[in-house]
Amino acid sequence: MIPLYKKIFFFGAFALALGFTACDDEPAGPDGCANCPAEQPITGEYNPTAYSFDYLPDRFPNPIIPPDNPMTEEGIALGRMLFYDPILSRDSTISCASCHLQSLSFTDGAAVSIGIDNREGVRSAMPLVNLAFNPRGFFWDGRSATLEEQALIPIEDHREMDESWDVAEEKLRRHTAYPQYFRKAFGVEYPSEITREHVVKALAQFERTLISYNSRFDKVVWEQQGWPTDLEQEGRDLFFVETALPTQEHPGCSHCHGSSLFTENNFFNNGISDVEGLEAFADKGLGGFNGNIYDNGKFRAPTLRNIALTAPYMHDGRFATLEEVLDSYAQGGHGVPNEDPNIQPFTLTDEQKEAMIAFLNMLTDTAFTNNPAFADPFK
Amino acid sequence: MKLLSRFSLLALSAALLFSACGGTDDNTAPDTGRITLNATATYGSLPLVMFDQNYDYEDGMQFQMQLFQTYLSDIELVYMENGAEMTEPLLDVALAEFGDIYTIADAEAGIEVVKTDVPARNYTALRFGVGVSPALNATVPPDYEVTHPLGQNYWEDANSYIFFKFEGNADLDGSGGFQDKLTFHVGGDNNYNSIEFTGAIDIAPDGEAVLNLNFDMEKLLIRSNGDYVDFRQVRQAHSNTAPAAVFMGENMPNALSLTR
Ligand code: HEC
Ligand code: HEC
Repeated sequence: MIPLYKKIFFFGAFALALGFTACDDEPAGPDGCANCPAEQPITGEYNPTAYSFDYLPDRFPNPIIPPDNPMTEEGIALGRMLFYDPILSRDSTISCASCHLQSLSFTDGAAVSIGIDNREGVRSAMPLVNLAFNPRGFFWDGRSATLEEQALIPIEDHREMDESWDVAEEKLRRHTAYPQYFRKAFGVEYPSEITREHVVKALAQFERTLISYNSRFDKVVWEQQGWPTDLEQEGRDLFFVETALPTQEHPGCSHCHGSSLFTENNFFNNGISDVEGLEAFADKGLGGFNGNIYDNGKFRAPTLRNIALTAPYMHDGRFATLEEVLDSYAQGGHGVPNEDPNIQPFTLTDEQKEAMIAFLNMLTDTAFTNNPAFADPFK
Repeated sequence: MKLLSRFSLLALSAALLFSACGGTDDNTAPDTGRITLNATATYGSLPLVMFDQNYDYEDGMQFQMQLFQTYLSDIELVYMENGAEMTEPLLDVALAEFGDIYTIADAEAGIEVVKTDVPARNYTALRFGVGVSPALNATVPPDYEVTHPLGQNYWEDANSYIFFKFEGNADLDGSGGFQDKLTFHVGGDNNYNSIEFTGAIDIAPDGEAVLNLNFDMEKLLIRSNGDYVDFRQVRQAHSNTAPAAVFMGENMPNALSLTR
């Protein structure tokens, strides 16, 4: 398939600049401007196929699907194209996939993301995994309530794709191929009916299919296919240990990274920042969004599925390796007042550390990172 | 294949059944009034706020709160009909979370647990359980939507929900530094408490009764005989059977009071 963005590069911007602005000054009839040629309806069928989550294992909760954006095969296919197509950025160089790479569980391997014109962002790209199960807001600080809302942001973010939605909409409307896909997915009859709402709905539909449930941990623990190694088992015990005996280490990871999703998507200060007081966090996280000082320095606990693939770690990518992450947790915080009390010091022998990392490596799901349904459709 | 809606289906059929019955005796259906159940938390007589308040504890110790949350199950009103005891169910399960309460005003206002219409009657008691009822505790989070109260707070290893959590920071020696972390998590059917508050709850047609259930942390931690959870000895309990968990589980009924 020919990349759609190549076509738009030669044709779209000009058509846009000449055609539409000229018309804008004319008295507009019901279908647009008086002197414009009448808009042609989009040809083709609108007969969407409902998407089924039947493959989800029993241990997973139900996905959250907004009633006004039901999942369809056509919507997902369109969302996948939009996700990989730089058409949504100002200079057609950046797509969502520039910072969200499938091979890295949809992160980018950088501490902070690099967007358009090599502009540096302020936070680390988040993994796009099991997003359909998050009821508590998207981004590290939870500021977008839904995936639809979230997808509105990167397009206009000056450090990311830096495009205006008005222009992005026009590029899609004037494109040779996209209007047909919008028709298939949403039943639009005329290109002018294509809006940013359709774009974010399609993106969200695609993102809701990005579900990881096939790691070695799933196979061994839930599906009884094979056995964990002794080291993996030791790591698992350390990760989940609840009954803390004085003689037993209690890293307490599962308090915040528990459940079959390895997160309950709650917000915590997990003790990584040594700051003077609650106002002193470089990034206030949840508190910066909701204005509550006790929420300063709290971030959403991410899933640990595919964690071996998503270095560097934390909202600002401050830790390069899982060893560093464990060393930080083992310190038990820095005495900042709103650190979660479940962050407590512990000591691990080298073998125990190795064991915890062996366990975390069990959460890597290559069926997810190699799933052709999630890959670049233009390749 | 995933049984997407085991529980929604059940709820749906129950709802259908109910409305069907309702249809047949519409004429004799009692008028309705409204019941509201609020929950508040205190330490003794002090409103319970997170972070901002130092609470004086036994033997010169102090602590600050960071979280109190608890499940309430099988909330129902009791009434008598023809000499027989009947119940009016209000809600199967709720999670009362006090972790976002930072001001005295918010603490005094409390949390709305249930607000619902019920047949107007002279009820004789409020009944509920603190924790997750054994029937519901036999279920697991994937049985529910992630937004449902039972969609989280589950211990795989203990096969139980975490019924309640008490978290904060203690100053053990009166030095003014709150460095010692308190994390008491209590679950397990053995720690489930059925509670009944008897007393007239009269709900007239179109009338409203507002009940307030208070959780007193002082009574949760200190028994009337003077025994208390000594933070110098124990600062965490994360199991059904840890002595501090059982102590708090047993104390929970004493920590409750209901006002109208
Ligand atoms: C320049 C890099 C960059 C681009 C381009 C980009 N993202 Fe992101 N993405 C990020 C960063 C960084 C974050 C975390 C930002 C924050 O928390 O403030 C993020 C977070 C997200 C999240 C939140 C995940 C969660 O669990 O809360 C979603 C969803 C997402 N991006 C989807 C998209 C989509 C869809 C696009 C394309 C329209 C896109 N991203 C383009 C870097 C990027
Ligand atoms: C009190 C809750 C809490 C506990 C306990 C906890 N975490 Fe975390 N974890 C978080 C939060 C919140 C973040 C995100 C923090 C940030 O980005 O600043 C996080 C981030 C991480 C990350 C980085 C994720 C990413 O995508 O960058 C890893 C890895 C991790 N935790 C592993 C662990 C391990 C292993 C343990 C046990 C030793 C543990 N956590 C215990 C809350 C917790």
